[in-house]
Amino acid sequence: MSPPGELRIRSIGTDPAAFTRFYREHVDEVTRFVARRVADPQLAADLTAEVFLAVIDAAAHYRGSFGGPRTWLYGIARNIIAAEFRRSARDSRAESVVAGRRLLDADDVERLVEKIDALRQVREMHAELQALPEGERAVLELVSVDGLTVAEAAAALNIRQVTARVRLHRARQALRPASVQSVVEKEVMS
Amino acid sequence: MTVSKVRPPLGGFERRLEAELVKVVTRRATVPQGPPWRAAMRRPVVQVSVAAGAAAAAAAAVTGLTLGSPAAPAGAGPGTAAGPVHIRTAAFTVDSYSDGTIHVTWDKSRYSQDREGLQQALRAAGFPVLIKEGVFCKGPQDNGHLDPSGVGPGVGEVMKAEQRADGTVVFVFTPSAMPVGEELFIGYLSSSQLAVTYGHPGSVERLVPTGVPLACTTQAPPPGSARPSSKPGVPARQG
Repeated sequence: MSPPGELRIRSIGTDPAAFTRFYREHVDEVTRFVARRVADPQLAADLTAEVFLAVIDAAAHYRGSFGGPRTWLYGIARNIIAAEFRRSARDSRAESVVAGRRLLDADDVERLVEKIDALRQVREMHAELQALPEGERAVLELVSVDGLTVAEAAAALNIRQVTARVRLHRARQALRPASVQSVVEKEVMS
Repeated sequence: MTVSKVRPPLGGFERRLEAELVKVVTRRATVPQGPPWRAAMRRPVVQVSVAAGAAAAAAAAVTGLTLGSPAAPAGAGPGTAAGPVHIRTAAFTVDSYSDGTIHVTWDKSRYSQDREGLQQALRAAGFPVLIKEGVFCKGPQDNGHLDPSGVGPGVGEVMKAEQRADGTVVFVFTPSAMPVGEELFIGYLSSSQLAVTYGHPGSVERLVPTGVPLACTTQAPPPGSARPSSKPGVPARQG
């Protein structure tokens, strides 16, 4: 990314106009990223909000990455989802007051449910990946579930490309390819 | 997922979320320091906060050192620290960020004096770690390989050193990159073991499995295989 592009991303956290442009460009992508991983529309709304809050926090630290802001955004979104899964696994606590869900009305819930339903098959596949070691799963998710290239996934995860390739190979070896790859590529093309 | 060339129109939720987030950005632009502007948007993380508070209190109890305010340190790097864990002692600082990373700074002359406090703080922030001094552990299947700076395979993906603009070094820990069933082991050299680093404070880092007995020894790693502590203005080697 060119320096002006980097500066534009860095200003997201303090420039409402810059943030608005970024948000409108990526909100649908983020919502779909979340909907591929969670089936509850309320939680999906919470997590979408948290991803953008994290973007606001982290923007000043943006230093460019292979694939540009998109891979950076995917890295953040993945961390938010991973943190949510760790919370759920650790304490199964009941969710309390949450910003994202407060913003939902009945129509929004219906739209989110439609989006979530459309991604059910991919989400089931995503659940299958949970048996893989974390590092391998992360690469396979981003490449197969989210459609990133291996180089973009490596950038999103802040690992070397060769490491990403090795992990992807291992992950694919560990899974039966037919159940995973075909489903995903159909979604990626949609 | 593909990037749509034609963006769909924003729905009601997306418009309302945009409005709320723009308020956050606007407030942040006018109040650049401290996390209170996040309070209205963040989900409460009561249990984590309690754990963080307990860890901070424990650290203070162990060390007798002071704890700072929950606000982010000035010039902390990635915007404002807004995660639930912010711990200050005279030996180290630990701040968790909403992007999932944990930023740690430490005083190289003091950090090994409060290894239990640092261990508690990192664990409270969600990073699995085991810190010892003068003892070096590895998993039963680990061949013991360390690179020349004393770092084992995989460590660089969960812990990196970054240099700030002011020349200080911040260590960035990424819990989500930690392989399931493993934790980071940090072994500080004791004062009697500093020959391997020619007298400088140093440490060994490697990933070890959890839930199984580790093979530990008090024998220092051979010269050239322990990481000298980062010097002010000089980042430690990125594993």
